[in-house]
Amino acid sequence: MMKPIAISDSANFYVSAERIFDPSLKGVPVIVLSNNDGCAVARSDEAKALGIKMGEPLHLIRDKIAAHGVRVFSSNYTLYGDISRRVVAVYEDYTPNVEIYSIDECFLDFSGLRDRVGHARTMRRDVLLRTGVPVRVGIAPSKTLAKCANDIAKKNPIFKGVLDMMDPKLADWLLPLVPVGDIWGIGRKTKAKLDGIGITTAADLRDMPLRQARAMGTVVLERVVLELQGEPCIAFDDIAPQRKGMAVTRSAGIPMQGFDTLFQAITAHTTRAAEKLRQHGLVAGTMTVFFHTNRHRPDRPQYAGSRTTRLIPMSNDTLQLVAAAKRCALAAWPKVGAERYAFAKAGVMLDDLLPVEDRPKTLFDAPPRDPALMIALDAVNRRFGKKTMILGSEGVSQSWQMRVEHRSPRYTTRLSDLPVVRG
Amino acid sequence: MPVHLVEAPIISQGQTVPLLLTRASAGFPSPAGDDLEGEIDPISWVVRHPASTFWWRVEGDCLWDVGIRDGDIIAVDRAGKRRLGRAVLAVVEGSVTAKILCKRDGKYFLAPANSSGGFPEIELTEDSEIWGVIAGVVRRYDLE
Repeated sequence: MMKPIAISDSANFYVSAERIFDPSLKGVPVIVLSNNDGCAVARSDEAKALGIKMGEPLHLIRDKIAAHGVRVFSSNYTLYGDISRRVVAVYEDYTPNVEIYSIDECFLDFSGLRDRVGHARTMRRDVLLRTGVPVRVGIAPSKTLAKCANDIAKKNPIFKGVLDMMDPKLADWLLPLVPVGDIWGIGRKTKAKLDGIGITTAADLRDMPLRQARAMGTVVLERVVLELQGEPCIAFDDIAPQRKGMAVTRSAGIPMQGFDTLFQAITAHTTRAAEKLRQHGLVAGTMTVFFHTNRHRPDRPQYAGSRTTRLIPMSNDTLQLVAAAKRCALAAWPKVGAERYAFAKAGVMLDDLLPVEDRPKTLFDAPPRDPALMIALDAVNRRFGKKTMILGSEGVSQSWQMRVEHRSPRYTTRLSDLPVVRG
Repeated sequence: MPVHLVEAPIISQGQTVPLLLTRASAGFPSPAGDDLEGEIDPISWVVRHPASTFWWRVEGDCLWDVGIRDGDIIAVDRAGKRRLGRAVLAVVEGSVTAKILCKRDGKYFLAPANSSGGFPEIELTEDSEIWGVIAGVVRRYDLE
C-alpha cells in the first residue's frame, strides 16, 4: 500500500522571509549570514548567479558585495521562526498530519486525496498569499523520493512548483537526471565511494543490489536504496519523537578571555537550556560543557576544554544546572597559561532527558527544591520579556554576545520593530 | 470620536483570570456567578486569520477619512479579499503604501482618503502588487 508523502519547502527561506517586509529586496542579490556574521547561509537566486557559494565566508566576498550591491543580513531567527510557524499553520489546513523537519521543511501526509497535484497547487498558492513565502512540493511514496521530487520541482520551473512522483514511470524518467550526491542522506564520502564504482545518478543507486549497498556502506545506504525504490523505511512520525538531548551553543561576538567572561556565556546558555527543559516538562540526567578557541586561527594558541557530569538528582532547575555547569567549566579550565587563550565558542549540552514525572527517585533523594521559584522566574521573563531576570553570573555587559551587525528588525514579534507603511 | 474603555485583564500569580462582569456582593451570592465568560479580547476580533495577519505602523495621514492616523498600528491580512473601496497595503516601486483600492474608466487606482487633499493618487500598474487588506486599527491615548 503506497502512502503518498509530500515535502514542502521554500528555496532560500531566510531570504524569502526578509523580502516579505522589504519589497526593495525583490529582484536584487540578497544573502543572509550565519550566526556571528561569519558566512553566507542563504542566498537569493541573484546572489547564486553572482557565484556566491553556500558557506562562503563574508570576508572573502566583500569585493563582490560592493561591486554588485549585494544586500547583506545577519540571521534574524526571531523573524524566521515566526514566519515558519505561520507557514506550518497554513499546511495544517491542508493535511491533518504535519511533521516539521526543519525551519523551512515539513513532511505532509497526503494520503486519501483524489487530486494530489491540484491539492498541492492550491496549498502552494495559499502559503504564498497568506505568508508571502514561495514553497515547492514534492510527492512520492517515500521520504527520500519526496525530497528528490521536491528538489527537481525547485530546479525545473516546468513543474510549476509541484512534482508528484507517485507514478513509477515518472521516477524512471527523472531519476537518471539526478546526481547521486544530491540525494538526501548521501554525504560527500559516500558519493566518492559510489562514483568509484560507476554509480553516479539516483537511478543507478536505486538499481544497486541491496547486498552490495550494505557491504559498501551501512544500513543507512541500504535504506536509501529501498527508499528510492519507493519502499518507505523512514517512518512518517505521527507523534513527534521524544527529545533525547538538547544543546545551546553560540559563537562569541568578541573572543572570550578569562574565566568570568566565559562563565557569563555558559551561564546564559545553561539558563536558556533549563528554560527549554521546563517548557517541554523534562529533566536532564547528564550535562556537558565545552568551549574552544578559534580553530581557523592556527597561529594563535589553541585550547579545547570539555567536561561531562551526571546530574543527581535529574533536574531542570536553573540554579542547580548553573552550579553543575560551573563545576564542569572549572574542571575543564586550562591549568596553566589560561590568560593566553581567547575562546571563540562555548556551549552546553543536556542528555538523558526524561519527562519530569518519570524522574527516577534516588536512594538519598533530597526533597526537590520547591518549583515555585522557577515557575516565578519563567513567569516574570514571559511577562516582562526575555532576560528581565537573570542570574548575576550571566553578567551585564555581555561582550560575548553574537555579532548581528546587519540584522533586520523583528518585524512580527516586537512592537518597537513593526514595519512602517507611509500613508 | 467615541472612546471605548477596555478593562485590562486581571493578573494573579501569572494567570489571567476572567473579567468579572458583575460586582461581588458581600452578603447574598450573586445569581450571575455561574454565567462567567472569558475576558474580552478585541484583538482576536480584529485578527480573523492569525497566520496571515501582520501588524504595521502607519506614518502619515492619507487614510484620515477612514479613521487611520499617523502613528496608528494596523492589522493587515494578506488573505483579505481585494475589493474596491477597501483600504489596502500596496507595493509600488519597491516601497509599501497604504491606500484605498479604486477603479475608474476600467483602470485600478490607489487613492488617498483625506478630504484636505495633498495626497497623490497612484495608478496600479503591472509592477505593483497588493500586499494585504487592512483588517483593523489599534490606537492608544496618553494617560499621564
